[in-house]
Amino acid sequence: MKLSSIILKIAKKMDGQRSLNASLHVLRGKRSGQTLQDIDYFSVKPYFSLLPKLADATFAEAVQSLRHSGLIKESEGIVTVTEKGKRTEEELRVFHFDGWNYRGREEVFFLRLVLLVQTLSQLRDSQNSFHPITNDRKIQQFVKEVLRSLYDSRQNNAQYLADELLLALEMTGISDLQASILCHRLTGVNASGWTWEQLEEATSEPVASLQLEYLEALHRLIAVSESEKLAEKLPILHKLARGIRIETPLTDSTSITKKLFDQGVSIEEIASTRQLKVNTIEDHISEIAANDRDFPILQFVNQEDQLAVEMEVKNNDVKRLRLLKDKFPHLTYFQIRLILTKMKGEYV
Amino acid sequence: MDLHHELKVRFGYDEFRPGQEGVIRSILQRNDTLAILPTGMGKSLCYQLPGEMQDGLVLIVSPLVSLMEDQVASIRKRGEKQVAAVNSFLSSEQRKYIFDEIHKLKFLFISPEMISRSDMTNFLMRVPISILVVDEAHCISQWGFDFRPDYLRLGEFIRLAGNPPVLALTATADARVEADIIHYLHMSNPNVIRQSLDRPNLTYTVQQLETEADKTTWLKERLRMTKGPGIIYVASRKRAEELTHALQQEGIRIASYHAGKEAGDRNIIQQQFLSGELSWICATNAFGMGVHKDDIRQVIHDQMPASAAAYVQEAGRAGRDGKQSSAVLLYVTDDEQKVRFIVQKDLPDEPQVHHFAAMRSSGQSIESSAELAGISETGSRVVQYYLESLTLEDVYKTFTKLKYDKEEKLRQMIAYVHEKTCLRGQLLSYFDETSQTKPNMCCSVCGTVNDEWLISTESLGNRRRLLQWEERIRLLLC
Ligand SMILES: Nc1ncnc2c1ncn2[C@@H]1O[C@H](COP(=O)(O)OP(=O)(O)O)[C@@H](O)[C@H]1O
Ligand SMILES: [Mg+2]
Ligand SMILES: [Zn+2]
Repeated sequence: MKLSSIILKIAKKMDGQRSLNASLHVLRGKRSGQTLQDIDYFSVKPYFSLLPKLADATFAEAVQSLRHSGLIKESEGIVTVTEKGKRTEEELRVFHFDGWNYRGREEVFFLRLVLLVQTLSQLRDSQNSFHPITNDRKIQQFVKEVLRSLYDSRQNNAQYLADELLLALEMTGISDLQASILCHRLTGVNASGWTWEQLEEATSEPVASLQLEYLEALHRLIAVSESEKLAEKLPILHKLARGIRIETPLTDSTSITKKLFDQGVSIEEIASTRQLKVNTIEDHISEIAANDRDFPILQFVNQEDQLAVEMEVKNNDVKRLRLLKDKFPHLTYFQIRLILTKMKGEYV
Repeated sequence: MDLHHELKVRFGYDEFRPGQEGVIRSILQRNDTLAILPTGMGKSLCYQLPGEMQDGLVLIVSPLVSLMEDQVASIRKRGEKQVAAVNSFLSSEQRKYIFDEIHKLKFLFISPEMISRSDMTNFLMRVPISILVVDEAHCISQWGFDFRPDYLRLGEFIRLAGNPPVLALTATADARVEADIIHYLHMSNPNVIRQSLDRPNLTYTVQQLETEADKTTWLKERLRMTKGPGIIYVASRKRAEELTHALQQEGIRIASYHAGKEAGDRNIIQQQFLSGELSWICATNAFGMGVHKDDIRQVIHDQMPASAAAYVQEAGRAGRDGKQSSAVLLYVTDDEQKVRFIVQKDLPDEPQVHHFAAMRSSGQSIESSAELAGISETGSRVVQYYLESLTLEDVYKTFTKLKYDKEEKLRQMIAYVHEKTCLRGQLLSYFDETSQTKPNMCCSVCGTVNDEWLISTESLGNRRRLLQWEERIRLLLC
């Protein structure tokens, strides 16, 4: 799986409306009002925060390859997908990421799984003392709890976990290669996990591509594991998936703003009590609006302006903020963003 | 008191290693004690055993989070659960948990910057401390190879905590460092227990070569012919990657290890090395501390370290099991300049200090001042510390002295590679020791190196084969 394919998918969704940076922000999971609104508006939530540490150079390289093969074009900072690009995009397989709901927490799930597999593998070998694969105390404590609860009910848990993994991986619908990558990152007695380079050598796939395959596979494994319907069939994995999904979509700082906002404190007042810029608070409010169907938008824009902007978007298919701002100079960017947020779900 | 009995019952060991018993007796009599024991000889036991035998908390100051975690894990592993670590990475909730449970705890590890925070000091002052342990105590001395200014604040804490018995532990301390430790930790009439650094089962070799490329060629040949497990120490991440790649091409089971690697991969590599799936690690000096592998047969340095103390420490990771092992240092003439550059780079010069001070007084943070002045992160901590306690003039002087000192240390290494007398004797002399033993296979200068015992009979590794995923799961769990 190539990074450029993912970028192409995002670009297609934002076709002619956003810059390349907007895609980069999505992939890195930038928590600005603009990005949070974009992911909703263009339905690219699955890609949000997929690669928090994505380097500029890596991104640029992938973009360059898209440009070079004539799949995308850029003018005045806006990306459009060419006809060839559209065809290529349609031929790509469907990706099953769920970045928005896991946002890096998938690694926590995997570390729990790695440590549990290692522990059960060692115990099966009657080795009670070994060097744990992670020193993270939180993970260790969590796995210890899980082990305790398992041994309360039965022995031979290694076999049970093996059965669950075999079943769960089958149900995820991931490819054999993906399942194999996941399984070779696990560690046991005389079978340490493999490094990315070792996997690269064995599969002849570049590390970056393997890591994307792994990420998608992991998202799908967690989805299966956390499903309530399957909890009886996959009791151990279900336990491991506890608390992985991000429950509060709002950032910490936004939650504080929300509390004040709900009490009726104005944006300016919130900014001055919290010693933050008005801009920042406006970003928070956009985030709140994006997550709340009943957001009282009338506090910020009147009905008339709202309708006018909506008409413009629907009739002329303009979603670019700057173009809208030119058209409605009396509105602020913040107000326009709120209207677009509100429209999501009704349009596209 | 039957200490042997305690040792057997609590730790399952039959014998003390050299030096341990003396240290433990001294600390049990509540004497301030400085123990200088070579790496891997079991310094941790020197506080763990008396800690278990006495009431009160054993507070251990440790410089690196990774070292702390490692010690905590090994204490837990033997069944002692009343152990925790506080460092700046803990969440406030985790920290609160430790505070609430403090009276149940037996061992608490703490970083030097945490212990000197006033809330921490105030809290710990009320806890009965049975032993205050300062691990890697050479960090307190600016003459040590790993100076950490935060250690200098420990003296104040010790005074406030009512002068509990202090146990300072280090692997290397020459006379100057020893004096600094005693002075800054306010140790009174300390017992100094020093175990010879000599490792009779190590053979020392200096291998002079013409060019960098020759080093790679030499290593290829060496690793093809001789056995591991072994470590190759290199000076940079880049070299680690390149060399690893070249050696893999030869079919050698080797991986690189440095701070730039993903955490998951680092753990996996350690695991593979411990289990024998990898024979070699090619690492920067980020690898080694906290790695317990007793049967390492070879440590090869691709580049000389900055001081004899660092060399003794790193080479000393070979042969912990007491069996014959080899320490090789490769050398080409250019190395001197390269290492000098690396060593001096961390020490700011006069204009940099001046710039830093000016930025600080204009209200910039330490980080951005350091960045603007082009000072490294370690460097900035040291400058900041001196600026707080000395005049600008004296700071310049101090840095000039430090530069000079680092150069001196480097000279020791340079002298070592050109040495015409016994390498073992030479290394020991840097620590004011003379060698007591003359092993059969001493060193390349004595001309008694014989590598026949090192010849490998194993065949080289085959390409690793990926299993079907179902097969892999069964291998792991069934
Ligand atoms: N008396 C002993 N007998 C056998 N093994 C010991 C003894 N004392 C310590 N060890 C082991 O030696 C290893 C190194 O101990 P450690 O305290 O980490 O060394 P140091 O801090 O001196 O480098 C540990 O695995 C420890 O369990
Ligand atoms: Mg130690
Ligand atoms: Zn000799």
